[in-house]
Amino acid sequence: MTPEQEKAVDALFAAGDPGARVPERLPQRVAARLTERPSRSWQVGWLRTATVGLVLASSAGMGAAGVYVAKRQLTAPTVEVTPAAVKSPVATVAAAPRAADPVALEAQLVRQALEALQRGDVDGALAKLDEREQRFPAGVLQAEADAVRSRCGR
Amino acid sequence: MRVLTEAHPLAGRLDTVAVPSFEVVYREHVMTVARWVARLGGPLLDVEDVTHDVFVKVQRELPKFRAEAQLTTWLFSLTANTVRTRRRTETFRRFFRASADDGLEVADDCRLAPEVLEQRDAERELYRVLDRLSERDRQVLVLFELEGRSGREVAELLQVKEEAVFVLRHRAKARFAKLMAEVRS
Repeated sequence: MTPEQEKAVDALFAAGDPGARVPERLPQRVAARLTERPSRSWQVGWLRTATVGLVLASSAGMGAAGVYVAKRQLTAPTVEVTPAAVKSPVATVAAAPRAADPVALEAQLVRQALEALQRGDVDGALAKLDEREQRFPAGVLQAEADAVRSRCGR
Repeated sequence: MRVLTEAHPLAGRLDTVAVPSFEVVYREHVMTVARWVARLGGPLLDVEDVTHDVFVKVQRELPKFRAEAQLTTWLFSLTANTVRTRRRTETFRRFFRASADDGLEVADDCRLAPEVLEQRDAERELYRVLDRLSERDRQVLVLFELEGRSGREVAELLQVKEEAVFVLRHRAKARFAKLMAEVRS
């Protein structure tokens, strides 16, 4: 270090001393704070730290839960679907006509008439055919209904 | 002053040791601590706030003080630790707040006379260099150059040998001069 440098350093230390700016009333002000509440900034600091910690911990927990769920979905055992398992519900659905479908209802009535005729219940078959005619006067299964009626012999 | 009596468990071992009360420590050392805070912390810190924190710690730790070290040494170490922690926090906060200024408050109750502005400029430049030095260099320079303490006092406060403290001072000053030239250029 040259003498000029040393001089410059000394001058800077002499000019920029912040110790000279310490207010004279500082002891009274700090004493007042110490008596009113011993460690206000300490409490605020800890409150802030606790809040940040809580937020971080909950985010980490949620992230971990997400990862766990995603992992479980990836590694979940695959269930082999047998044809039999699929067949029965499909069959049930096909057997039960949807209420909103008029053709299906008409077909059901014709089928019930045919089944009754096969059982020998001619009156039952005719009742079903009458019911069909009443509910669906312009039904699409008129030819089929006529065929069943002709087999009833009346 | 609270002097240990025969009834105290340490009375037999430390019969000559006197443990001052908090009020005495506060009355006698508050301004010294405040100046240490101002000089070690620089313009970044609120002197009153950090001095308050130091005395909160003094209040808590004083009963454990066993006078194995000088009271001033103990106080200096407590102050230096508090200032170091607060400087870190403040740097972190300023990083996220992206404050453009160097921490100097322009608006306060002081008159901004030309000499005050000059003093603040010098202060800003001084701490721009000091902030780039190590904690030990900073402490050595603050105690020698700003406080004007003797080698013996600095050695006592920093708990090093008196001969070593002059070597530390010389090295710290050389590093300071080098960094100052860098900052100015």
